[in-house]
Amino acid sequence: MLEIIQIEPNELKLSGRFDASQADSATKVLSAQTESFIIDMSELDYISSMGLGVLIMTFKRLEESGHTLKLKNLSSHVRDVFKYTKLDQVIEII
Amino acid sequence: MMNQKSFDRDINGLADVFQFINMNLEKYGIPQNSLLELELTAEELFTNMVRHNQTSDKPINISIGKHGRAIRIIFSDYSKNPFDLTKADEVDLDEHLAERKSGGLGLHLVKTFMDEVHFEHSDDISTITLIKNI
Repeated sequence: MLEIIQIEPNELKLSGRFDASQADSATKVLSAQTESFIIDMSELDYISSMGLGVLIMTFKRLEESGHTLKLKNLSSHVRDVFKYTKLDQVIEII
Repeated sequence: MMNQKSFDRDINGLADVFQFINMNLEKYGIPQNSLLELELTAEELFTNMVRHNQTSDKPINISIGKHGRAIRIIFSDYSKNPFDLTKADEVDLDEHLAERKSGGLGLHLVKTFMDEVHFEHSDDISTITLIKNI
């Protein structure tokens, strides 16, 4: 199960597991973000390619309108997934 | 010994797939990151079969077991149009990400996280065998 909560005006926190079954609901929440924002991933235990796809789509949409998406506090597994797909070279991790 | 279970072709059944993997592997005390990599690999194959194999409405069979250091997971799916993932072109990550595309990353992760990936197709059944040494 994936939980997305707003913890600051420009910051969301993802908790749980971002798998294919969560992609539609996550897309709905993230597509409502129209300004630059940060995602705290400290409690995100798992992410698959479908989760990555939602983040890439969000990043691309914001980038095209001159905004940014940044990530922080990645767990070991999530950091590995970003490293092996080279996404850590595209989406800024702070 | 391999344990086997059949799963309906439904993305919302992923939780059952994860539970089956965990239930069969928890006794081996596998490192958490390796367990998550096995779950991710299972998800990528299961969702590929559900989303892209339009030739079947039959359940997908998953077998799992450990032989020595090797965790072995076998997916079997009825298919008239087999897709041999071992022969799929390697994704060019640099070009791919420059264009902000996400397709193909799942198979890339499968090949990255597993030590061996084998594909067979016979009698309209596609069989994918994954091996990860722990």
